[in-house]
Amino acid sequence: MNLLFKERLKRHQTSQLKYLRLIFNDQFVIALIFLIGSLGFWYSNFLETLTNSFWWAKIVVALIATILVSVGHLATLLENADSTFLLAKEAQMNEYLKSAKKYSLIFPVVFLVVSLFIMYPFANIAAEMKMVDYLIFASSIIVIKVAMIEIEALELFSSKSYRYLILGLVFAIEVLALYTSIYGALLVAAALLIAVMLQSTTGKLFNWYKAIKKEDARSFNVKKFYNLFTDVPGLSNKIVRRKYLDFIVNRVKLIHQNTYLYIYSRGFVRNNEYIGLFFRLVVIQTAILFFVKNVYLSAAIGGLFIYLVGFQLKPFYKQYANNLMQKIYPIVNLNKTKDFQKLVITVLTIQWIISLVPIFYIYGSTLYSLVVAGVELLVELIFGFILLPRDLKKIDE
Amino acid sequence: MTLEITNLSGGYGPLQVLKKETFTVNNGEVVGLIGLNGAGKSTTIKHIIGLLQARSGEIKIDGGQLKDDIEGYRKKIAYVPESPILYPELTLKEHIELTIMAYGLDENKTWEKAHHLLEKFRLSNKLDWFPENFSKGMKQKVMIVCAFMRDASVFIIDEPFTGLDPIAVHDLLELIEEKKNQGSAVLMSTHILITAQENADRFVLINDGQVVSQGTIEQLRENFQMPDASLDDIYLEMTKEAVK
Repeated sequence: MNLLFKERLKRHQTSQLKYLRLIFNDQFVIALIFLIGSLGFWYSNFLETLTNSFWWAKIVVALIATILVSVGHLATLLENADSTFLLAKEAQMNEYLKSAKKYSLIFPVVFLVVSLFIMYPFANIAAEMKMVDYLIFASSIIVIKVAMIEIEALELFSSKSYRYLILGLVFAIEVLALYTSIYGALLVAAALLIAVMLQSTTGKLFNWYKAIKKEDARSFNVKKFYNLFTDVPGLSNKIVRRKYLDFIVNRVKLIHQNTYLYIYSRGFVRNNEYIGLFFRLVVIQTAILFFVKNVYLSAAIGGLFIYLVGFQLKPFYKQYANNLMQKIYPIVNLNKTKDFQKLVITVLTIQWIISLVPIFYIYGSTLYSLVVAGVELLVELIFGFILLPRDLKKIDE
Repeated sequence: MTLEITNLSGGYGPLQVLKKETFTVNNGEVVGLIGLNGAGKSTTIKHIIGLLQARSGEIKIDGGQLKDDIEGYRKKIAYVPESPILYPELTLKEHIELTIMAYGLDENKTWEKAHHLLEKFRLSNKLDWFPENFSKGMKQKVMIVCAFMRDASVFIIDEPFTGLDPIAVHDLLELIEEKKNQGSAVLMSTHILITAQENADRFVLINDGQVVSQGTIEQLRENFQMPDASLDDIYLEMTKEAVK
């Protein structure tokens, strides 16, 4: 069983690596550097404004720690067919889970160490925590994470789930310990871990259905995250009718020449993946533009988001290029890339119009507004008329 | 002579499946394409509708090949695939609208026919639903409606009966009869031999990508020297020979 997990892990890691390589392409790395840079800048500015400590800062520290400790799950790497083929091996599932637990700890622990490290200056200034105290606090959080992974494994032998109860308790205990004695937190965490480790699963039935469902949900969430940046095959998209948006798609006239546009427009509006992505990015863009008061930064962010939305729509084209019925329809003379271009330009123009609201709110009717809006429009035109047709041609080949 | 296949050889990439197939489907005729799993039925159909390209040989509809007039050729075909192919984002009504747009059909006339067919298959009250969420049989019905609301010269139906309820099978056979009487050529591949024997005029038996035998049931009986045999018996005989 150990071997089985190792083999699965290898396969899992190669596929993860493949996605990560796709995600961390040049454009994304540049965007990421921007993002980390501006976040770091914002954080250090924010710390400077914190001159005095305040009494509820410790609650904030505990709350953030609780959120951080909730990141990461037990990755069992179980597959659907296992409920049929591995049934005979049920007695050895503990061995399998042991390897799974070990692997599942790596990411959350690294994540906790890094994020808790970043939080230290805040805890030090606002909550007046000394280095030693903070280290004990951080250790207690990490011990709790280890215990939580153990609990997740135990939960596979029952039908209950204690996740939210535990998170609630963690928050309560950390708050209590931060205001009284921080050693208490580490003590409770260690006690929890020992209590969990002492639990035995002998005689209990492994809940295959639950385990497979949980693993499916976990890997679906991971893939959904990857899907924000790259095209993940086999990720089924949710379709929602959204009748209230019919007035938009009904603008496409029902004539032969519009066949592709008919499909694209309805696909965009109803496929959660694409309209959701558009919506998310537009909300973030609008929010950022409301806060930025530097004209260069505004222009860069506005342009970047226009580009991002357009860039993320490309898989949508690929999805439709492969529909079989479309290959049978007598529509070879219609231009499917032109129609897709129409869709993208319409979408980006809507985004552009929405972005005018924060731009004019911040800069008023000045030249600055014109510059930011102009840069955005330029990005839209370059993307829509130069980059997009070139990329679509590549997809068609 | 509506659908005419001469010496068709082809397959997927380097894999050759079809070897010099020759058969025809005439106007006003239903031809059953019969063969084992993997014999090449669906591959033949994919070549006819133009999803795969022939290595050699010709496929002609009303005397014209796909490459001569791509749109004209495609407009002559109505196709019901083996497993329904639907757009997950489109409602039933929109699938019909899309078909009308793609084939440049007359909206009012086609909708009249469509309503008639929807009524027949008890789908009228589901126009605003996503067929993607329907059962296999109901999805198949949607494909049938989209194909049979058109006046095509050639109807190509791949395994039409699997998943359909008995009433729908009956209704589909009626529709096929109707199209046949209107002068269309119908090619259907199937495993349900009793239904095929009762409803097809001629049969093309293929095995390993080759036409083993073809003709009316009487001609097949003669070829296999099995007087009074049913299509089922002949099929089993062909299978035995294939194993040898």
